[in-house]
Amino acid sequence: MAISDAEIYGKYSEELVRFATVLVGPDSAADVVSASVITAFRAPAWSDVRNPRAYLYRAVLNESRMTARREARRVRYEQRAASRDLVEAPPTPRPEVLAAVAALSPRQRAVVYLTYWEDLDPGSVAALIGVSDGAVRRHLARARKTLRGVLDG
Amino acid sequence: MADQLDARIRALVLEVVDSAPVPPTFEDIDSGLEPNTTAGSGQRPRRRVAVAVALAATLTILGAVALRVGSHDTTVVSVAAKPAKANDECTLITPAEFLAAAQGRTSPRVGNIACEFGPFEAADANGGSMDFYLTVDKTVGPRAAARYKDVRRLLTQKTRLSGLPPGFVGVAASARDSAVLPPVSYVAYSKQSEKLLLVGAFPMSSTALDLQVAADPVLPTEERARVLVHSLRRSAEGDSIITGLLVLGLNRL
Repeated sequence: MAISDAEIYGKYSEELVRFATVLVGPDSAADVVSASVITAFRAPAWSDVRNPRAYLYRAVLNESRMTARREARRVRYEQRAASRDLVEAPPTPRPEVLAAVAALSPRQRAVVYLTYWEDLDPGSVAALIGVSDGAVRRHLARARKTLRGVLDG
Repeated sequence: MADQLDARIRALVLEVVDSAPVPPTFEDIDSGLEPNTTAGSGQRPRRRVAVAVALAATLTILGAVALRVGSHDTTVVSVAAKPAKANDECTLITPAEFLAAAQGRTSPRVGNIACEFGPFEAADANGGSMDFYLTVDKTVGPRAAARYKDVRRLLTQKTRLSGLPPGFVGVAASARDSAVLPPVSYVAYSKQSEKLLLVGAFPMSSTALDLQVAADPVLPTEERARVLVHSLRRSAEGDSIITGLLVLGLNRL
């Protein structure tokens, strides 16, 4: 029996939001999930998808990467606009954990989350987000190296 | 050594995951879907319509640009431009509604994009007042996200073109370099006009309360601006409840 979109969403929404939180932070996570799920449900190929969970994870990862790019662009514009007339604010003390996450690329965040939270092996991570096994290992190695530097620094 | 790093990374991920918000309901998602999207039919006609609309809009814009260039009009768009009037669907909320919503006591009504540029006066407990533009939007999903982005883009364009208005001094500018934290665009104040200028999109949980402090005429304007900055930074560290957008004193620019 075919499972409805509502049932699929109900089954995976919480883990997708957790995943998006690691990728883009808590403030954008819900919007990223909404946009990703709507894109997925609208896709002509959606009815033929065999593994909706993997499809939705990839959709969230893609949307997060777009969000990160848009956000970086927006910050650049705003800093350029503001720096002409404004006194630069003193550095805001940031929680160590957010600084560490911010040091990773979206793909690295995805791999770290799926490895350390979902306890997936590199093969399963690769299958879920649609990259090669080797790419997962590379992303994980680089993420660990970056995190070691940030956490020890 | 590797185990120790793994444990620290695991703790880090746990901490981030703990801050995950509640997922949007399926009704929110469903409202973002157009009718018949699941049937698979009508996709192409809709796309054709969208392409035709986009093409018409592009041609209109190009025409307008051509006319503008032809007239040698060198005027730049400025934030001094008269704010757009709210249309019939626009629902500006009152200060009391805003505070109640921001404190979580009621659900805010949702306005539309015109609302954000309509005048709105808030009276504080001490009888002082300030003009600002406000929207509180508790909706989630692409509709809210799109509105949020449109407003931010518009503000960025406006402020980029004109910079700070005469007499305003900046207190803080955004120094965010990641998508993890919400942005604080900037806060500025003017001693002459006793106005605060706050441009950006912010979490509102503590901002609403500090707005009352910021509106307090007993405090020097600079101090009021700094109160807001502290409030916003605190909000940015994770206690946000309502995402909204606030522009103080924009009508004075």
